[in-house]
Amino acid sequence: MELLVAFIIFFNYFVGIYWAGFNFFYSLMLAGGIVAVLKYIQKIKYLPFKELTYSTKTPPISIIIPAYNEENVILRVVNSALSINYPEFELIVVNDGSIDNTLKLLIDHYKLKRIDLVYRNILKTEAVRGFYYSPEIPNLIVIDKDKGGKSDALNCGINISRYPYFCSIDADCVLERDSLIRLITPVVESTVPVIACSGVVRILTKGTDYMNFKELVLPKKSLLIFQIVEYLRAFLFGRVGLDLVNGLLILSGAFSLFQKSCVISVGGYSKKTVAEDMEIILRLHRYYREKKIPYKIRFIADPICWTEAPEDLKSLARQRIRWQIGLLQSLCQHKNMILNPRYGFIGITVMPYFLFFEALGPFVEFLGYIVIPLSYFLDLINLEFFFLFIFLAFFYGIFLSVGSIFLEEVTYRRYPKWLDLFTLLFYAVLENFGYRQINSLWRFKAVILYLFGKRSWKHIEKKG
Amino acid sequence: MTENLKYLIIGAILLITFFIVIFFISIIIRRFYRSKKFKEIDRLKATYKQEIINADFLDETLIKKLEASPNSSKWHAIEDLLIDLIEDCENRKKIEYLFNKLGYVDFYEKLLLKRSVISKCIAINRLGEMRSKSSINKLLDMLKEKDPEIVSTTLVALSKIKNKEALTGILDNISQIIQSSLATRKTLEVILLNFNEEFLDIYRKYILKHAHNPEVLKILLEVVSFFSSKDLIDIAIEKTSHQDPEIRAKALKILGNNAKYLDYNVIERLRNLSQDPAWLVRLRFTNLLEKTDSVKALEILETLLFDTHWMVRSAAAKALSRFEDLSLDIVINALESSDIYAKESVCEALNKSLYVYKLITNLNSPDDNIKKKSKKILEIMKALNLCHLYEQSETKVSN
Repeated sequence: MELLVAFIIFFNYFVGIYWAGFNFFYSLMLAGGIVAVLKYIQKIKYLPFKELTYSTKTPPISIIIPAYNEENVILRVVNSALSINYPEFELIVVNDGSIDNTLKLLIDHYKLKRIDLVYRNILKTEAVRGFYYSPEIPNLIVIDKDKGGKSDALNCGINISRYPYFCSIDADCVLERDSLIRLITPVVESTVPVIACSGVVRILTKGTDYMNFKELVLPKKSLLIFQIVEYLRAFLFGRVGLDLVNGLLILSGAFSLFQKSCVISVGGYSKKTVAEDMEIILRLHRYYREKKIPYKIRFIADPICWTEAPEDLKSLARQRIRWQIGLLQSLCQHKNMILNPRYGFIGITVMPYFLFFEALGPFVEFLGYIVIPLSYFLDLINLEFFFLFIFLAFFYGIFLSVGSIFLEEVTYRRYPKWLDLFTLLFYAVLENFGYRQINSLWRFKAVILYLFGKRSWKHIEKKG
Repeated sequence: MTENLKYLIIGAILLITFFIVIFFISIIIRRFYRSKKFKEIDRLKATYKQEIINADFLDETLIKKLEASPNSSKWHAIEDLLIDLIEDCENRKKIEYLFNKLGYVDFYEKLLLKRSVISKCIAINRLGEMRSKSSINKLLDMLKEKDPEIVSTTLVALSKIKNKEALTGILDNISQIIQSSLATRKTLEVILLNFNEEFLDIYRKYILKHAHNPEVLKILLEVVSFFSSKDLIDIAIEKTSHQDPEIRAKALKILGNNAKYLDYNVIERLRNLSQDPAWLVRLRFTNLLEKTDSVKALEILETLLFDTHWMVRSAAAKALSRFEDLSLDIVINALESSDIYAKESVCEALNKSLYVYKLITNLNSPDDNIKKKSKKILEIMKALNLCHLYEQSETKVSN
């Protein structure tokens, strides 16, 4: 009993310090994010987007779209990619052993013919069955291959790509016309090589004309609105803040640009993780820091890609569990970078942050839900303090969410209707009463599943 | 201490609540204010657009009408309108005059003196958008700044002004810009390309001036490689013997883009470049051969099919496929060789260029020779699993 009491007292202090540390980092990221975003929207006024849009010297890009059973959405993403404003690009769709009509839809819609090309297996992949091409759309090529997973499909696309940069796009995404030019501009202008970068990923709303982006509206479903607020928070200050210190560990796999030679030099995407987007970034950091080659991995707060989000709790749970398992896998695979001064700021600060707060945070939070009521029943905690602490935690969460809505208002203003603005603000408050807690629960479940050996993942069907 | 901690937490809650309220109010006020402001700007733009287009060159009444205090809605409206209109050549002189007369040029030239990098860059960009020739000297001073953002923005602005002084100013500073890494090579190439063939004489002068500066030479040669002019031939031929392989390659690129001015004997004199130690040079030489369209190139292309670098082999195969039936013998030799890489390159080129369709059509050719050779090629491609079309056509025939 004494031991239990001692543990509870220790845990209460630990939670207080843990929470303070966690929110200290978040506050730093928010402060940095606000400053960086406000500066960036001034910079946009003079960045040479127009010059690069029409220049033959703009680096050509290979857009790679891995697709597995995406018959509901594949034509949408290919049409949006073919419509972008970019001087020179090729579009490589990799049909990763789909068992639905993904390939047939592409062949019929774009009148593709089978063509025989030499496949150079630089990054080893599953067997390629065929290539499809139309002389009328010479920059589109479809590869049909045996199923190997997203990483395998991306590696296949890299093998066949002709250009020095490639951009990976998820099949359920829609690109804005200027996304790529806005993504490449800071890369071209940077005097330190930018080996990877990503833009903002936003949530699709059904029925919006994404080719022209007229009058965006919020979705009707609460779950989607919660996710919109969450994405705004993650992208507009989380990633912007980390970008300031070249400390990004994740670039969204749905929309990211890489220098091809860099990815090949680290061996391409790994099949050993469910979050290949995070793992490749860690590997790039590791490689370049070990070789002491100057580099940057950037987040650009301007170009946008729209993506589908889970619309029911079950799908959302699967997605969040997968992300958490991916995070744990990636951190474990690169555990000797943690607290290792050889890896600079990444090793000393960013990775420990991700380990102690993002990876283990749900575990601490879940224990808190057990220990703190227990403290109350054992008369170890003052009720007044307990409620004050809860209020502080909730208000701080609201502050972060409202701060991200503020950044959205200052930057993109993609929801011009007043009703949508107030709805977002309302959900920014509401998400702290249930939505964030259930996310923590899923992430906690992921930690348990990971500890008990879950390493792989099943595909989620897109609705279109 | 417990009381202190309690007050600390209450204080933190109040502070956070305060910030939440600030955010709420800022969002609402900002949206409301900007909505009003932009409506006003749009209204003013619509009001003055036709007047400006129809106005006489030196209309003082109009100038009085357009005057506004800096940073007012009217100021921004007129500025945006004039920037939209300056693209139109008919109105350009009038718009440039208005920018000066209404004080925009002075305003932004004063902003150049500010310490803030962002303010400077906004000013530089605006002066470029206004095509302000009178500001060129001040902009050239900006090229001496140590901040890469300022230098890059200045380069873009000068490229928008696009006259001899601007280009000469850039090229006078290019060496120092590259040495100090104040702009990327790509940025320089993009902006220099805005200065098109009209400025070729200036480019020639600076190519000669920087003959011993390979980094500058690479950029200048890359830029002029997009121009089509007989006057580039002599420079390019001279540079094909430069010690730097990248310069040799760029010289060949220039020759390739001006192949129509070249006699094949000139290319024959450069034959040794097909054996150059740098693969990029061999690749460019192959591209040059493709552009000549001369049957005499076939012999060299045949040797390049067996090059050690796959890109050179691919380019050679692609060039050969353009010669269609004339290259059949060479294709057969390559496909019958033991070099699997050469075979793959040839098959891929035949597929990508769609010449494989012609080969299948040749199976019905009245010329027996062509028919036999085409069939031989298709059989070998089929054996390499690189011609499903032939397999399909065989299946159809047998059915």
